[in-house]
Amino acid sequence: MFSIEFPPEAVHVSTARIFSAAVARHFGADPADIEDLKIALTEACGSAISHVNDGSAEPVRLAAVPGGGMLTFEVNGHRRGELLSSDSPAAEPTTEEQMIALSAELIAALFPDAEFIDKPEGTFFRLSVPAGAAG
Amino acid sequence: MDLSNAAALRDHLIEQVQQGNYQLAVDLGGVEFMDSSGLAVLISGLRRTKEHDGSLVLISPTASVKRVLTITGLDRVFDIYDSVEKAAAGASSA
Repeated sequence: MFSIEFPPEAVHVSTARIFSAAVARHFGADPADIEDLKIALTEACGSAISHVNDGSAEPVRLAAVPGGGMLTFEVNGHRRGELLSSDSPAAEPTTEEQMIALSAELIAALFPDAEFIDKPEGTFFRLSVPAGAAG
Repeated sequence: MDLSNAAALRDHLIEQVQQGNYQLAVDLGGVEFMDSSGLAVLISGLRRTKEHDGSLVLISPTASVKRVLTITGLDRVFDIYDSVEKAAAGASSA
């Protein structure tokens, strides 16, 4: 298993993206799957970070687990505050609301079987891609 | 473009609209990656310009960015051009 932990700050999302792409390449994942993986995991890590609004230093954990010809990625985010949301009563969706909807749309389109669990204590996300010969 | 830098574009677009610039073109030629935060900022910018009968068009998105635009259906929401010149010509003929 390969894993990294990073502070729940936006600046670290690109590191998570680079990590996941490198691991997927190492296990021989298809380049097209790797591009999709980068998008989905960026969304998952972004979601994990967006759920932190209390200055929590609890890290986000991204793990890659090979097995059964697949490479499974898991993102665990912790939460000690309420879900970030806008108080705006505007009829138009806020940028935050649009981002959440677009994020869900992207993940669902790219990985229909991806799991996303949103609990009071945090978020959990999991998806798998086929591993290649190296896996 | 992701959570770490989308806010900079959002602020720039807001500033442009506040200065009275309602015909905006965002050159995506150098953007190798875009997530939902970037898409949301573009939508927000488009909405702001449309409130003033303006527009926000996209210039030469990379294959990666085109993909997320297509998946989310935003390729039908935004006018997309190969160059700023073509966008300007499109705007003047609209």
